[in-house]
Amino acid sequence: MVRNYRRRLRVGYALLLTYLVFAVLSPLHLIEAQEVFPFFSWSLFSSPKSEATFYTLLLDRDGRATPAAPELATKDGRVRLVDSELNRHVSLTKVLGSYSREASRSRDPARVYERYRPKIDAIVRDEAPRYHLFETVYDPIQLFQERRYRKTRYIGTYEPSATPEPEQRSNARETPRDPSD
Amino acid sequence: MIRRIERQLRHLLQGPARSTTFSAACQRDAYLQAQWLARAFYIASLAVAFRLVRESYVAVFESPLTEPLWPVFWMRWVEPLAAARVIVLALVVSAMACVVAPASRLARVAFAVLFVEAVALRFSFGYFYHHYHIWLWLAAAFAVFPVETKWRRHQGMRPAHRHRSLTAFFYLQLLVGLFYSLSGLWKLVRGFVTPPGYMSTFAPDALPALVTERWLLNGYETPLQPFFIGHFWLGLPSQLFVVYVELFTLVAVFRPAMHRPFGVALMTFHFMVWLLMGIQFQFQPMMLALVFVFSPFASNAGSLLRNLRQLPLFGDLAVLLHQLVQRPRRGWKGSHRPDPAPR
Repeated sequence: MVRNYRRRLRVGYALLLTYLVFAVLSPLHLIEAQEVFPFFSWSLFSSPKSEATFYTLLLDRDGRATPAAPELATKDGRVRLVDSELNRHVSLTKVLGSYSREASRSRDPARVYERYRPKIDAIVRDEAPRYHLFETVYDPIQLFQERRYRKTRYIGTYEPSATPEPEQRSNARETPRDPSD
Repeated sequence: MIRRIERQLRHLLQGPARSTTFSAACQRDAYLQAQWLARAFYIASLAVAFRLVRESYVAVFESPLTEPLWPVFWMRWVEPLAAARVIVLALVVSAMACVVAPASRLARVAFAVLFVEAVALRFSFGYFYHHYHIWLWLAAAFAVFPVETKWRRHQGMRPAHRHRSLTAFFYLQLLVGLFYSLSGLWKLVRGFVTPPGYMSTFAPDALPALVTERWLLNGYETPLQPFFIGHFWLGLPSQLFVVYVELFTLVAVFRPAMHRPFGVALMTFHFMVWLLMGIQFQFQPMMLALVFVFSPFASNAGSLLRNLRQLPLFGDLAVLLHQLVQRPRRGWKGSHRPDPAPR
């Protein structure tokens, strides 16, 4: 019985060690992928930003000639960083978040965007014929205290193709989101 | 050699104030508690499964599967919405089967597999978040947990029954402890290794910066945000508390007197995250209650002071300091003991 118990203990420790190995592959840059599902490094809120970059996607339904910089500060002095029109698209917000993390480390965000573009185009093509992408750099505390961001940069204007590929067709678009999401 | 390393490591994790007695009567109580907790896990899993099936189904309904994860690779060849229907229905049925017949290994394995499928489906859109990950791993661990049908009748009288259940439960605790400790470890590492554009975890502005950034992203104020942002000095002690509790959760698993305090501390941490940053942890407090607060190994025996000696790091230091102070005194007494009288 004692031998069985010891064997079980060792098997358990070996499994936990295996988890640990898979979990640290991505943070140590041993693999390219963000993570190996269902393993996760559990690096959550471990890197507070002194300077944050945010990417805003503005839909252009009426075909404006010149893209205008996003209005971040609203009338009541509050600041918003996500286009409220697109907030219901959880997927879009999240993909944009992933792009933001990668692009803020790159010198050429437009080039990085080309890799993310198919995913974003697949969602946006049903919303508008064109959209503009902006980069906003801010210090979170300064933005809160002084209501101003450091700079806004225009990245580019994109036109998602009108005809979606059959396997990428969205099933429905008007699904209301639960406010608790 | 391996056994010696194992023993040394275990002693290190248990600390100098380790308790060595775990009588057969205590083990029987712990066994019954573990069996009861396994059933409670599947009752709680119903709520989690209902939430997950809704999220997964809506996600597939809302947008195309841009990056299917490996467990749902087969969905490339079928209609995603039809496949999603099958997965969510099967998950709900298996979750209910686990509540009705928790001793059925088939039901538990089916639940674990379908839970992995549903979570993979939920995050096959090029992004992740991780609120289902702990539950996913617990579902896998409980699938191999020895849930017994006659647990009330034999009451864990046979050591083989008790040891199997308690060892399995210990591993569940280790698994959860590992997740929290990894989270604490990254925060600790980032305290000393800071890339450009980031600040140290231990910078006075670190937590206020995180809270402010969430406030900007959320677009609404959470209950404690205005107070916290108005009192920046709260940032560093709060951050130190979080790093300490997370980092030492794995160590606390080896110290039964710490199971409840750490469970409660982590629950408080999750609640504070919502109050400050608006991030809701719906299932984590429930999971912490199951794994740590109602831990079969947690004991109420011993005074508060005695239990505090098991506090990782601070308790260890206090005990070692106490031992260091005691040792020379014994030595002094020994060296000045008068020689026995000659016969």
